[in-house]
Amino acid sequence: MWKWIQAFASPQNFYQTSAKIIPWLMMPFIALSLAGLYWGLVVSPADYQQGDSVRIMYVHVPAAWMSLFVYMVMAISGAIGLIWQIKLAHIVAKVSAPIGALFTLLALITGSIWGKPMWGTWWVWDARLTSELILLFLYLAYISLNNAFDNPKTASKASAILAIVGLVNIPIIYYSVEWWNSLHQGSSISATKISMQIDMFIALMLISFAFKFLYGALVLMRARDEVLVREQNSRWVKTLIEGKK
Amino acid sequence: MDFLIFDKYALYIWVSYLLTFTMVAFLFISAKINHTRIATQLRIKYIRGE
Amino acid sequence: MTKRQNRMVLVATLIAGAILAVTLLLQALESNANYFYSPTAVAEGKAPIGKSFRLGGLVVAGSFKRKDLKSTFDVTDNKNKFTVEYTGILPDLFREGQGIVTTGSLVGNLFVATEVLAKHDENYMPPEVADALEEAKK
Repeated sequence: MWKWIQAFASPQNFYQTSAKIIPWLMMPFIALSLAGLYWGLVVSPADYQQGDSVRIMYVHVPAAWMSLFVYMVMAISGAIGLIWQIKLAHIVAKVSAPIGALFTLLALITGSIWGKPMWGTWWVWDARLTSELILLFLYLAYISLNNAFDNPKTASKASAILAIVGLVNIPIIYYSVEWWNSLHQGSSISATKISMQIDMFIALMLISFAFKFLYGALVLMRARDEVLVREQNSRWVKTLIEGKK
Repeated sequence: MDFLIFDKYALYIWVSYLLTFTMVAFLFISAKINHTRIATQLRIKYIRGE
Repeated sequence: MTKRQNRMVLVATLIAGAILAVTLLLQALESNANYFYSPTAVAEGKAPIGKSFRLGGLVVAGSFKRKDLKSTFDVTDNKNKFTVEYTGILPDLFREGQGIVTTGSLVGNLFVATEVLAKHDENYMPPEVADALEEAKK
C-alpha cells in the first residue's frame, strides 16, 4: 500500500496515471449533473412552505458542503505534505484552494438569493452566515499566502500551516446553527435523521456527488499542470513538452 | 415544459442555476487556459535554453 | 512594490484578518453570537430593554391581525409571549405557527418592530405530505 502510494506520488507517474483517471471522473460528473438537474427541477415537488424556491437548495446545500469538504481536503493534504514531505500533497492543497473558494462564494450567493424572498433579507450577521464568510476569507488568505513566496517549498509550508489553523472554523460553521440562535435553519440531513421528502433528498444527493466528481477531475487537471511547473528542470517534462509539437 | 415555469420564484431559481453553471464552466475553462499557458511557457524556456 | 514589501503587506493583512476572525469567534463563544433573544430571555431581563434588539419565536396561531400595512401578532416560545407591531411588507415565509426573528424595541409590553424576518425550519416536504401530517394530528 505504502509503496503504491509512493509510486503514484512520484510526479512522473502521477502525470501519466491521472490522465487516465480524469475521464472516469468526468463521466459520472456529467451523468450525475444531468440526473440531478432532472430530479431537482422536474421530479422533486415544491415545498409546502417555500414553494418552488426550495429548488435553490439543490445547488446551495451541495455547494456549502463542498466548501467544507474542499477545505478539509486542503488542510489534510497540507498536513500530509508537512509531515511526510510529499510534494504531491502540497500540490493538491494548492490547486484545491481556488475551487473551494468558488464553491464557498456560490453557497453564499445562492443562499442570499434564497434568503431575499424567504427570510425577507439578502444577508444577516448570524453565526452560520458569518462563519461561512470567514471561510471565504480563509481561502483567499491561503491563496494570497501561497502566491507571496517565490520559493514553492516555503509557500507550501506557510500556507499549509494557515490551512491547518483555519480548520477550527469548520466545526464552528457546521454546529453554528445548534450552538447559537441563528436565522439560518438547522441541518435537515444528519447521520440519524433526514427531515426531507425522498425526491428532494435524491436531488440533493445527485448534485452533491456530481460536485465531488467535478472537484476530483478539476484537482487532477490543475495538479498535472502544477507538476509540470515544479518539475520543469527534469528530463521527462522536457521530453514531454518538446515531443508535443 | 410548463413545469419549468416556476411560480413567482422562477427568476431566483434560474439565476441560481445559471450561476452554478457559469462557475462550473469557468473552472474548466480556466484549467484549460492554465494548461495552454504553462505548456507554451515551458516550450519557450526550453527553446531559449538550447 | 518589491516582492518583499508585498510579502510584508500580506503578512500584516493576514495578522489583522486573524485578529478580526479571533475577535469574532471569541465574541461568538461568549454567546453574543445568538442572533436573537427568546421571549423568555426578554421576560427575564436578559435583552437590552430600551435599546433595539432582536426577538425570535413562533407566531401564535390566530394572533395575526392586519390593517393596511400595519400588522400585529404575538410571538411565543411556548412559555412567554410578546405582542409585536410592525408596519411594512412581511416576507413570503411569514405565517402563523412559523418562526420569525424581528428587530425593534420594547415600548411597555409592546414590541415595536422595524424589521421582520421569517425563519425556516429544517423540514422540507410537499404540500400533500404536510396536509396528511396535519390530518394525522387531529
